[in-house]
Amino acid sequence: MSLQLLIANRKSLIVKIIAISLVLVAFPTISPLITSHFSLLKAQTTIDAAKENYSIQLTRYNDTKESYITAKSNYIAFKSATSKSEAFLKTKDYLISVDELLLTYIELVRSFGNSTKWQSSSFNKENIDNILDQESSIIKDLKNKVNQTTTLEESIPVSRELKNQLGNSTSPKINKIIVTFDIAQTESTFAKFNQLSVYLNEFVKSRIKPQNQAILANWQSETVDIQEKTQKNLDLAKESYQKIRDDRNNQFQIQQTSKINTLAKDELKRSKNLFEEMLKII
Amino acid sequence: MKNENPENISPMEKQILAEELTAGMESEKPQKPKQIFKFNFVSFHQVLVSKFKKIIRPKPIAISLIILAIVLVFLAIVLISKDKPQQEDLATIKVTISSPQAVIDQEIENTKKEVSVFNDELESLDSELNSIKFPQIDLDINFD
Repeated sequence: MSLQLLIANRKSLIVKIIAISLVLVAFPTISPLITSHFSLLKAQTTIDAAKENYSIQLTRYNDTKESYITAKSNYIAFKSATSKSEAFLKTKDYLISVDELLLTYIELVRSFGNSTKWQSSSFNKENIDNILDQESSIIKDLKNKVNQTTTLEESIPVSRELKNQLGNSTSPKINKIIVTFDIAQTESTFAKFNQLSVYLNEFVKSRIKPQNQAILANWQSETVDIQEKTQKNLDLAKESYQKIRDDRNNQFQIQQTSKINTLAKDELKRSKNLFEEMLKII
Repeated sequence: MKNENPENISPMEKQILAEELTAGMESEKPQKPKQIFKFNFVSFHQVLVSKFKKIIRPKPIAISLIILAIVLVFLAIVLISKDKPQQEDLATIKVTISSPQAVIDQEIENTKKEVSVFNDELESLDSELNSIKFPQIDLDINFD
C-alpha cells in the first residue's frame, strides 16, 4: 500500500514538472508576439476604454440626477426631517457623480490628445496635458468637499462652486483643447501632403513618358494650388484660434475656427485621387 | 456397519465408499490450493513491482530527457521565427541584383503604400472629435 502511494506521488510529481516546464517555455515564446502587436493597438484601446468609462459614468449621472429630482420634490412637498435627509443624500450622490463624470471626460479628452500626431504641430502637447492635469486636480478637490458635507445647506455652496468652476474654467479650456486637436491633426496631414508631393514629383518626373509631360505639368500646378489654399486656411484657423478665450465659453469663436479648419481639410482632400493618378501614368 | 467381504458390497455401498474416499482426499486438498493461491499472489505482486521499478528507476533520466526535448523545441521555434525575416531579406536582395525592372516595380509598390497611408490619414481627418463634446450638466441645486 505504501509502495502504491509512493508510485502515485512520483507520477504526480512528473506531471507537475512537465506542466511547469511547458509554462516556462510557452511564456517567453508567446510574450514577444503579444508585445510586438500591443503598441499598435494601445492608442485605440485606450480611447475605447476611456469612452466606455465615460459612458458608464454618464449612465450613473443620469440615474443619480433622477433620484435627486425625486428627493428634491419630496422634500419640497413634505418639509420633514426624513425627506430633508433623503434630499441631502441624493444631492450628495448626484454631485459626486457629476465630479466622476467630469474626471472620466477629462481622461477621454486626454486619450484623444495622445492619439493625435504632434510632430508637425505648432501647438505644445505638454501645455495641454498640464491644463488637463490642473482641471482634474481641481475637480478631485471639489469631490472631496462634497464628500465632507453633512447637511443639505452645506451641499448648496459646494454645488455653486462646481458650477462656477465648470463655466469659467473647465468647459472653456477643454472646448479650446478640442479645437487644438482638430487643427493639429490638419497640420500633421498637411505636412505629410507636402512631403509626399515633393517626393512624388521627383519620382514621376524621372519616369514619365514624353507624351505625358502635359499631365505632369497640370498635376504640379494642382498640387501647388492645394498647398497654397490649405496653408491659407490653416493660417486663418490659427488666427481665429488665438481669439478663443479660456476663461469663459465662447461658442461663436470656436465654431468659426472649426469652420475655417474644415475648409483647410477640404482642400487637402482634393489630393486624395491626385497622387494615385500620377502613379498610373508612369 | 462394515461388511468384511468385499464381494458382498453393493454398488450403492461402493459408491458411498468412493465418495467417502474422495471426500477424505478433498478435505486435504483445500489446504494446498490456499497455499498455492497465496504463493501466486505474492509472485504476481512481485512481478508487478519489479516492472514498476524498471519504469521508475530511470525516472531522473526520463525527466531530464523530457525537459531537454521541451528546450529543444523552444529553441527550434525561436530559430525558425528568426530565420523568416532573413529569408525575406535574401529574397529582396535577389530581386535587386537580378532585375532592374524588379527594382523599379518595388519602388512603385513602396510609393503606392505611402500614398495609401496618406489617403487613410485624409479619411481620419473627419475624426470623432464631435463625440467628445463637453457634457451638459445641470448644477442649479436649490430647494426653494
